[in-house]
Amino acid sequence: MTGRPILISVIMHCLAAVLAIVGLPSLKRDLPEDMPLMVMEIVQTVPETNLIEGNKPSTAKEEKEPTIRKKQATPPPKPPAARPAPAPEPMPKAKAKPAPDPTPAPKSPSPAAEVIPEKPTVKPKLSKAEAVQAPKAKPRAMPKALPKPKPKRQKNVASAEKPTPPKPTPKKPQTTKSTPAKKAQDNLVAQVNKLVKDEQKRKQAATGILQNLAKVKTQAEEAEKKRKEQERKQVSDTLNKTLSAAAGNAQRAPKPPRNMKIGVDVIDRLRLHLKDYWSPPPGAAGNDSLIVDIIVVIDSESNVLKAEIKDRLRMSLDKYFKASALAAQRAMVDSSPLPIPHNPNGQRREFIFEFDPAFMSR
Amino acid sequence: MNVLRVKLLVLSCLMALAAVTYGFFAEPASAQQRIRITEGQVAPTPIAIAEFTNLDGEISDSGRQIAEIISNDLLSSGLFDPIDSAAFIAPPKSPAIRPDFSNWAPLGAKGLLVGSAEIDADGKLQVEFVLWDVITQRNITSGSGNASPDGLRQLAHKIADFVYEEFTGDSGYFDTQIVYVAESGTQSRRVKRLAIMDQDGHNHRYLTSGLDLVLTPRFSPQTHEIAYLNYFNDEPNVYIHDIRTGRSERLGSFPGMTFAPRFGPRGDKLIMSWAKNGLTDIYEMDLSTQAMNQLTKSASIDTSPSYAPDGRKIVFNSDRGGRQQLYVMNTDGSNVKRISFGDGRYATPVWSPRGDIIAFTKMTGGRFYIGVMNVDGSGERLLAEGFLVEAPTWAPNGRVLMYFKQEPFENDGTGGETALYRVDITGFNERRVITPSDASDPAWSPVR
Repeated sequence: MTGRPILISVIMHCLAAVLAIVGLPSLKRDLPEDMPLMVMEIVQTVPETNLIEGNKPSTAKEEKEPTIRKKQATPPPKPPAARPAPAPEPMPKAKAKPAPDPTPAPKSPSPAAEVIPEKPTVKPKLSKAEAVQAPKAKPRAMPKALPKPKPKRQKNVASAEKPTPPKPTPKKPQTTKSTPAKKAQDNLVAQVNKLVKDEQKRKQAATGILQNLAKVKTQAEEAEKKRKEQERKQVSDTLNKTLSAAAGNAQRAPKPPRNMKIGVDVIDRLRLHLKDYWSPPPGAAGNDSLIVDIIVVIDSESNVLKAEIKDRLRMSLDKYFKASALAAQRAMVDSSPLPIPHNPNGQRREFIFEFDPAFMSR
Repeated sequence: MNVLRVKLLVLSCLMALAAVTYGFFAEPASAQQRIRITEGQVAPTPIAIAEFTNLDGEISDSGRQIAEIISNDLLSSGLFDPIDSAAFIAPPKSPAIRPDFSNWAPLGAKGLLVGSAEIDADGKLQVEFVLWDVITQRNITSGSGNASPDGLRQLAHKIADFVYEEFTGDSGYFDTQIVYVAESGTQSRRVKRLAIMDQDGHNHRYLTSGLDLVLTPRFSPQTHEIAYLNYFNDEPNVYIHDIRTGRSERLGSFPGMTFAPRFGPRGDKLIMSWAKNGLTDIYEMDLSTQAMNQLTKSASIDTSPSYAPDGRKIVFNSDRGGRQQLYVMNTDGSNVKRISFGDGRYATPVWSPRGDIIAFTKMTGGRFYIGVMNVDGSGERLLAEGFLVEAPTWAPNGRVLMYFKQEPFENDGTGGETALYRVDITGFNERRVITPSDASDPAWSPVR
């Protein structure tokens, strides 16, 4: 009877251990996936500081397309078609920042101009490096592999050259010199045997040569691969260094104005200001769940550029929430400009305004 | 058992692992600064109702009438402030044309309703409308409809419902009717007739001749039937009146009935209080079989029953606690719970169509009040007060209450006028409903 709890305990511990072991692989799987994500994060932060777009090319597909266009544009200065190619780039930017007026427009081209030089410089380096280093790798690999096989080659070549001319015939006169017929026959037999052995040796030698050649080739290929990989690593390292340096500079530089916080006194002013513009729908009375988040983007002079309702899905499902959300959105747009100190950096800022109509049920 | 434990252990471990993994890999919170706004203002929404135009872009009589009806509806709700059309800078020519918002924003308008009204070759009134948000310059909603020229008012009420719903979140209640008891004559020779009208007082007509005493009309959920009490030879008879046919059908005589019947949420049952053998209890009648089912069995007086909108609960008042208070029970009479604990007496409870609150009449300190409380009895609020205020009835959206008020009598026997009033559940915007004569016992219809 006393052994039963012990048995249960052992089973439980085993299960716990199995769970721990089984659980690990999933964690390990995730970890390597996160590594590239780190790079992605850097890329995302860059766009806000105009450096990001330089990172975008580093992500495979996008880099190639612009570089190709640029290449076509640079070598043949004639084709005007190459110039229209960069033109479409600013277009998506204009779409990404939809409504925002003419003011952002001038900003978008400038980062594009910054990006363009970065992209070509990075990619050409990669392509040139591959082209140049590849030939270097071949000669280096060859001498290393050759010294050993060389002696074999000489021997083999000699032996191989002998059989190739069917010409052991010259030896026949030697046999002819030993007159006795039996001896001659024995000699012939011995020669034939030698020839057979030689042929076997040749075959073995030939196979050995082929094997050696194959080894040399594979070694050369491996060496080439290693060098290519090293070069790629070097290039990627330099890229990462430059990107991380850029990102680091961006982070060291004054923080993105988007995240710049405002003080309590300004928040109080905002509340007073918005009080005159926000009249929640009466349907919100007594309904504590009708809290609305509005994502607000303001320009450097605190004009409301965008007031977007965060929970769009609920808007389509809940008519009370819809009315509350639209009232809050109206209040934000109507109350522009907001009493927030202007941004000397001239950049936009983004906030979340949370409208809580709890006061209506007091 | 061991297997079960092991399974539970494995499950809990997996859940813990999932939680840890989720927490580890979850995205960090956004870095945007959050600013909480907790103060606003309760003010009517300024809205511009443009007079509807015809195909030529000119304002027609019907267009002018429709705009006026919509404006009056929205104004009467107390939640809108229609802007005087004389202030319009450039009245719109057609709902198909996007308005120039710079002409409307200076007026303070937050909404703009533009529409067209045209009588087609078949003599039908064709209406189109677009509701704009002047601040965000977006189209909020749009629609179209048609009706016979006689249906102009109803069509306008429906458009007003659209506007109301978009700005408040509540369903509109303008396309509804009120049935009530129209009173005339002296107090000693009072004539009481059943009357019906639109919620704004138009299209008034009488349903009974006034020869018999009628009381407490109630709309059925189907909107075209009205149950009411008709005293004939001092005996209460329950009648069902069909508005469409104008016919009244006698359901039966119920001597001892102490409170008018109310329809169940599906219209297939009536609930009432009935004095039998000296005991007043609550009964439920199946309209198809007319079988009576007694729900309460107590020595006290249980009366004024009203169904919850989902039909699962009934609220009523009883003096079983020594004083008239409100109680809630299941529809089979079980699980009776007292919900009112305030001073005074509580009567005539009515469950809101939204199901969240209960309206009641309260008598305390020699005054009458109309109030509301949550279904568990908390959050009691008094909305109206008077010498005699009674018989609350809900608008179908559960936002507005109607009741009647009686003025005190003078020493010379004059006075004692009764009139219908309505008030928002916030207690604001109490308005008198104009009727041709004194009025009492109102009942609000569902939306047509």
